[in-house]
Amino acid sequence: MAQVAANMLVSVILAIFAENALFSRSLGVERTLLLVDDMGAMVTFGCLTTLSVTLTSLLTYLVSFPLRQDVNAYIYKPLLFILCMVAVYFALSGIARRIRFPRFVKWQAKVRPHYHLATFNSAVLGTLMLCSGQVFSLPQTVGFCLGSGAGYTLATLIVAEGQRKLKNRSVPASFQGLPVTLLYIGILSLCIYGFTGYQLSF
Amino acid sequence: MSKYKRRFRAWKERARLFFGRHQEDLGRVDGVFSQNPILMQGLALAPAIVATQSLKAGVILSLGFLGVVVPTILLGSLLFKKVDAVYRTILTALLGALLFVPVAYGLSQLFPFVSTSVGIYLPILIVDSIVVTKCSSYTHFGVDRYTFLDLFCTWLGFSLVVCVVGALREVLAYGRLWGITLKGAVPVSRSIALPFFGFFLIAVLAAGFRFLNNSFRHWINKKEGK
Repeated sequence: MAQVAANMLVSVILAIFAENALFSRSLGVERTLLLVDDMGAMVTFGCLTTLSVTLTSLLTYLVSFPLRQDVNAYIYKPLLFILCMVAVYFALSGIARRIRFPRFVKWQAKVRPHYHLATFNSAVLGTLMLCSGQVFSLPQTVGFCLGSGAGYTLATLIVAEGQRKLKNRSVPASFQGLPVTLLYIGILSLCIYGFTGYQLSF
Repeated sequence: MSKYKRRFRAWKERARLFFGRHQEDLGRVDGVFSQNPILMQGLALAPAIVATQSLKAGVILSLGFLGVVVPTILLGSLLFKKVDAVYRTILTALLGALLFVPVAYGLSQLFPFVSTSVGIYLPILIVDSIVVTKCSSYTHFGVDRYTFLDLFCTWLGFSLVVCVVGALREVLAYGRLWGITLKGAVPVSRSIALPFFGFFLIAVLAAGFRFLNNSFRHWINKKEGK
């Protein structure tokens, strides 16, 4: 039990820092750039992405286990994984609809516009495909997905704070917006590479 | 003023008036330049930043985009026009995943090491924000003959960027192009193939595109005599 918990914890820490979804693999960067001005929406989106990817990883582990020796698994996995994402989306929506606490209902109405985008995005599918490609055990898969979601949320907060500071600087007109944000993310990505020292597989 | 300078100025003025009169037509091919999906709109960034480590990877991504994303957007806009935006996102993701199967099979026959060349960055095009954005836009404005032109230009804009970035990074990182070592090419550093350089390169290209686009718009719209 302690060994399982340790494996899971190592995967979580690895996914948050050394293999950060945004800085090391650029997953979900488009969604980050769209939400960068709204801190509340960004945190909500990050938390929903973490929930989606962690719960979906349980299903995708079961689905991809028999495909480990199949050479054509690369072709079928996206379809199977998206079906798992659809199942988790409808399961969570169904459970949420049955909860009647007034504060939860109010929060759910606020969160509903983001939930489908938080479930069906490149950060979720990319993380699930990575886990199955690297042949993790179940605790490692769940830990890596949980860490990826948490790391993605943390990364988007760092990018938002950086964007806020960059708005007050005199940035040349051609670099304002997307270019300077990408430069900022690139510098942070360089720091992560300096920390790890090796190229990550994809 | 010399004869050639006068001729050049006259030609430049004729070109400026021509582009100024046909701005609406130019807008239909925006996807290549002023509405480039990667450099101007910030869509489909992940494959362009990380997976473009070689020209071959760029070509694979370009063919994957043509085979998966373009039909998904087109069919999604036509078939799911009256569906709620939430369910449209889910249905287009499923449609894209179905289209991915034959396209990935075809690409694996042409390029045996697809999964190592581009890895997860080909499948994630299925759920990229470009699909959601374009589907929403086409269902709102309707699908007509210019939609096909817009989609083609979007694909062309995407392909240009991923192929140019892939070729540049392969030459600078490994001193080769399409796996063939170039005589006289000296690799600068292997770290050029890493994600951080992808971020820097796309940022600089995006800034360059914006500068050129703003300069072009300013030039064709300036008042005569100024």
